[in-house]
Amino acid sequence: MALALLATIVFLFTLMEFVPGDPALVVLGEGATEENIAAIHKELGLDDPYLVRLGRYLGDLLQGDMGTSYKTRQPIAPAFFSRLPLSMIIAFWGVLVGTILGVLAGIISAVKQYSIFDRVLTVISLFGASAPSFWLAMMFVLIFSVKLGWLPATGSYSFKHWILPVVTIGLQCSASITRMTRSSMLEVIRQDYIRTARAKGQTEIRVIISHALRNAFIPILTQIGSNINGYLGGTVLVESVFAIPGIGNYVLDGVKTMDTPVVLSGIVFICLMCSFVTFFIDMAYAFIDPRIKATYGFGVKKKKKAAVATAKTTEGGEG
Amino acid sequence: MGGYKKKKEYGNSQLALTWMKLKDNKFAFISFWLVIAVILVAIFAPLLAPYDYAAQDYNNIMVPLSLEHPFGTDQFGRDILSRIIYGTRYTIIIGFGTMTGSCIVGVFLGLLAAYYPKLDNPIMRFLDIFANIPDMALLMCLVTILGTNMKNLLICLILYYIPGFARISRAKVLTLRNEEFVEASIALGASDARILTKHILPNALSPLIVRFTMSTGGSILEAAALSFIGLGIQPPEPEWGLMISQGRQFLSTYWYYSIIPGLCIVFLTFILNFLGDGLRDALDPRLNY
Repeated sequence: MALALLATIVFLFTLMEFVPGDPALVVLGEGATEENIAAIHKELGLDDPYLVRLGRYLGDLLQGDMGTSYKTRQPIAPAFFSRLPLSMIIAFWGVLVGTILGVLAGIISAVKQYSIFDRVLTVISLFGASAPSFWLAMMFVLIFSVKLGWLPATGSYSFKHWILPVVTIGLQCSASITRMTRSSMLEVIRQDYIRTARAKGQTEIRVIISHALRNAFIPILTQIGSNINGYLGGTVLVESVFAIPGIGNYVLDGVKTMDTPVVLSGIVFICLMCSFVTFFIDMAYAFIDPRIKATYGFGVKKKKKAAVATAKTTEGGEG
Repeated sequence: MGGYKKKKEYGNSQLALTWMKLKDNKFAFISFWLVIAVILVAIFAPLLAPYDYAAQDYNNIMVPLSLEHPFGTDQFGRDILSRIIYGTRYTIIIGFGTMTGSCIVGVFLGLLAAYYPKLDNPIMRFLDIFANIPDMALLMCLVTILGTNMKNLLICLILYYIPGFARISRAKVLTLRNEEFVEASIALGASDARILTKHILPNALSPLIVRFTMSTGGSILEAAALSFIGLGIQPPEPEWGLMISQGRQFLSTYWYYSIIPGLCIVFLTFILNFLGDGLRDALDPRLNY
């Protein structure tokens, strides 16, 4: 993971080398004199070789220094971290709402396959996957802010302002989770152990929740993880509709003003968060599937571990 | 459900079988013809559009929905219907152009990685780096470097979709490589290029076709999103995402300005997703590859 992250940072840094134009002109604006440009080059260390600059950037990053913005001449880290919580709140609650809605809808349409519920939910989730999130956000603004006047259209000052962005992300996110839950549950629900659970007189709700859903949850969890990763960097659309000062808008401003350090450090940090999310999702697999837990040896005694290993080989690998 | 029982299941080519199964799935079949219709609209845009998409008419600014202007006009008096009809050209070129480009490059890399074990690690690890970066972050990063116009938007999206195609084709080729018919053609002395193109690629097509259809909708959404935040196609071109963005300031009074292009995007992506679902069912009955 650490190596992949390092490779990603080096890759992004290298990409940013190809940004056209002289950074000194971005700093000074048009009509800068030769001397000023040379002074800026020296100050920012732009004349150093590529490897020296890369090394310096990585060293600074390790110490929590994300560089200095070309436009504002301020360090990036404080500006970035002051905007981070807002984006995190919206992404987190959005994905949470989406997960709850998506898993529920997925279970319903898998249990009642080919019923009217299933068809309606399938069409809704396909619609959610087909609608651009910014357009969906604007439709919510039109209905709930302009026509009904219930919720504020833009801003980020209170709980009320967060409802529309969270619902937008939640609906979009639930679309993919519904589809994944449905197909994964359909695979599991025909298995013999579900029939066994029913035969022994288990209540239907427990059969679905603790027998079927738990076994179907690994692909759903993967989908949730990829959704979180997507929204860590992708709230920019929702942020721009609702005028929320989050990290998405910060990076977007950087792109528009050719402020490469802002873009670079912003995206590097987003990638960092994504690797953490991926890591935690991988950890969560172990809590859902005891077989995966056994391979890592959490809480399994050594004797048992050997037994599990032999059992696994006779079983023919994990399912 | 009928149809296939009367006809013989054997003796038909893969293509004919897929076509028959697709026909059985009503929604997918309708979607297929609708996609064809949208492509035709894009090709014959000049014949279909009632007005010139760029003609400004300051006597008819912000006309609501009417007979002369079925979808109204915008703040420069341009007919929205005509702009939407011309907008299909951009959307179709971006959607299918992106997919064709990244399919060719991705499949090429995937074939190399799967067929030559020495190349596997370098290629796939490099593509993993691309795949690690979230979509909008990567696209914004690429736009910073390349600048904003139609050509660069295509390049960005092609780069973004390459890893997916490479991964799918690699996975499929890895399983095919050990099949007996590949062994047989090696024994016959066929060259690597011939084995890859004549024997392996045709058998690896079905997951690629599904991926192609499904991702076309995705790339249309990404392109619209980039245009919406001002990093894609620039005004005054009639691109749908851009039209939504322009209509945003008139949302409270002239709602149709941004709703209609949005509905067009939803419609096109929706039928592409439906077609993709149908193709997946038609191409692989077991649904796993």
